[in-house]
Amino acid sequence: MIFERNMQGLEAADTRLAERVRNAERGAGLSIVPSKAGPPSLKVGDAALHSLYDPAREARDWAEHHRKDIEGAYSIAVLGFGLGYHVEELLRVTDKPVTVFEPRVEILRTALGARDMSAILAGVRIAADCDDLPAPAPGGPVAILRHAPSVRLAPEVFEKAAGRLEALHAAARGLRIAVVGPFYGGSLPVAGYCASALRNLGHEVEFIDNGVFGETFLSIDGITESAPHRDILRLKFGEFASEAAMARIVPFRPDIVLVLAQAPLLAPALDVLRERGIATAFWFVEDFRHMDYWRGTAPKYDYFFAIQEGGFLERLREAGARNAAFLPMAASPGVHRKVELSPGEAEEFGSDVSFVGAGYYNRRRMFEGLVDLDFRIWGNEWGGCPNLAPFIRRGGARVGTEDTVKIFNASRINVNLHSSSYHEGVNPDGDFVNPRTFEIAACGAFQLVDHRKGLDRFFRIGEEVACFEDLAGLRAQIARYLANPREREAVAEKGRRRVLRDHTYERRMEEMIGFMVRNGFRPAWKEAREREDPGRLAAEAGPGTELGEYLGRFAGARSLKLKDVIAEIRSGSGDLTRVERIFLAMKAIRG
Amino acid sequence: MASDDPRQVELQSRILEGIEAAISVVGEIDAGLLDCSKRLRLDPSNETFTMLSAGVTNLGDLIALVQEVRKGVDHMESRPVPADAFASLEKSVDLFREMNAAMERKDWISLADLIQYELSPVLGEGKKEFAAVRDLLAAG
Repeated sequence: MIFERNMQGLEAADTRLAERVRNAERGAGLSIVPSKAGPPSLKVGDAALHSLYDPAREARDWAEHHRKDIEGAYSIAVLGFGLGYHVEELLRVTDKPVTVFEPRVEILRTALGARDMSAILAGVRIAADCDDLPAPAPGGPVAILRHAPSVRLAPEVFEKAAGRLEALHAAARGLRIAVVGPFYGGSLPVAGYCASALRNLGHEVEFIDNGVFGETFLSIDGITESAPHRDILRLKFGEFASEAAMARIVPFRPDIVLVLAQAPLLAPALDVLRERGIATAFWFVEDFRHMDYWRGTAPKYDYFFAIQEGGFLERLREAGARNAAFLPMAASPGVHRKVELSPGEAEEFGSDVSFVGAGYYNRRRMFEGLVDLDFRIWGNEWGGCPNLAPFIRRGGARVGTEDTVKIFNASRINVNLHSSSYHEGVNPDGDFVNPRTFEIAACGAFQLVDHRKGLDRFFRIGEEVACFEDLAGLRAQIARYLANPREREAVAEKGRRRVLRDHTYERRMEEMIGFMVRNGFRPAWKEAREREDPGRLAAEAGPGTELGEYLGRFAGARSLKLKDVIAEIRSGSGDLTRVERIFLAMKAIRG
Repeated sequence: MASDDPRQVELQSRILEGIEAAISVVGEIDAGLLDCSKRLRLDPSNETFTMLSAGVTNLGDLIALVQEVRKGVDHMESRPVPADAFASLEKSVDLFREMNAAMERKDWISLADLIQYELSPVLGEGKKEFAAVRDLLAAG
């Protein structure tokens, strides 16, 4: 009777957990025993989980013991449910959000059959798996309160949950993340998009933009024709850039260093980061079949992300990658967007059919079949193609991002043919989706993309994106969509909405951090972060004190350092308060 | 009636000293063990077990002292102390066994219960019994 009533409450809150509880093993060494005060207690094997004399009093003492933690927290996580006496007491003393983690569903089943849990089930969220733990409510610290007898039953599982909660909380409040980009190449803009996305998500970001060294690095080729000397110069330059990156990373004290493909962060730097407990992540935004440096790189990082999955993830693990995951490309909506074009721009960038990108072999071969159309080719490496020469714009110069976005917007049809150095046209085995697919869609532009394995997990084919499989198919699609502008616009708009919802760099960065948190990531600077918590600093100063009141103005800030206080003082006007004068004196002493 | 036998006088004096010593430590032992009881419920850490070990050793010493005082009283010719004068503290011997059993099965909540709900009242009563015996001996 009690069990069914409680189950109704649990089903209302969490049907999946309710099903697991209903199917949980009965007995399992658990026995309900009456306490001397009357209410039931619970024994697991020979050991009691609650007082056999007065479990309600024990719960009151538990809540009283944690009173300061409860008062200072924004949300509360309880490790261990037992028969829920302590949770019930917690709900009596606070109305803050409460999550309870109890990995043994058979204990939950026993508890729901022993006592009326309606108040608990209505007031708390219960999680039985670490993966089900919700991110603590942002806005303040989370108190993690342990029910010691429960924790003792499976200490590793509970400590993993505690670590997960701390990491989730840190991620929700904002991490410090250094992003390291390459000297040049396709992953250079991606590094910038990642940095922007992380900032948009509320993280503090230090972007190590090695693009500033790009020209110098490329100039090495012009210094000498001696290949060994060029190699030495590249190596030395890489060492310089790696050390320069570390000179910015170390004082920044990041929780995570995200390194993009081909970025110059060398093994000794990674060793230093590991010694300091800083998590390192590498995003290999390359085709692993063409670039094989991943074999040496993967074992050096804590987390390794790839744009191909299936067999590649397995190979990464074989190569020593500790935590490898699929992380597809995306678009950056602040960059890849609908733009209003002037008549001049529409004339300059517009055409029936266009392509932006480098002149790979398969593109050269296939595009020879489009020369009867109003077709424009933008990008470099198209030399030696006499049949295509009349269609190549700007003499085959590289096209910048801003102009690329204008071309996407201005073209009635954007052809997106993934590169291949040896296929005649479409690579039938292509298994990653290029950034251009997401970028064109994010612009609200229409594209015809060669069919790729896995494309249908990103877009509904035919509704949100249109595909082709060979030249004949491409020509047929071009004819169809040129003749049906409304259909073209409808597909483009649906594709744009899909990208904005699911395929932005913000979503990818969330996925990346989520994967890291699920796989052992712990913020490296927890104590330092807590020392910089404005709420904690104000509480330590005392709410009624002059300092406490002054610090109260920073309550909404993620962290508070002396430089933030000085900036606040300098932005103000009028006479300085005593507290402000003291802070200025501290700044003068520290220099 | 007080004995003039110097050995009896010496014995009584030693018994009184023992009782005073017991009275002075029993509250401390009780408080220490109650603290352990609280910690066993909230944080059964190494520090808790170190404190518990010290508390149990002290309790063992107290029980040994009670047994010595009991023997001393038995040797007194005037026998002013009733046979059940240390009844409460003698109960602690059985409790001691139950506590050991709880410790062996690592049942920290039951151990905390035994300390809080059984041993602590016994020690409180025992303190009163010591005081009563002391008063009896002093009056005799």
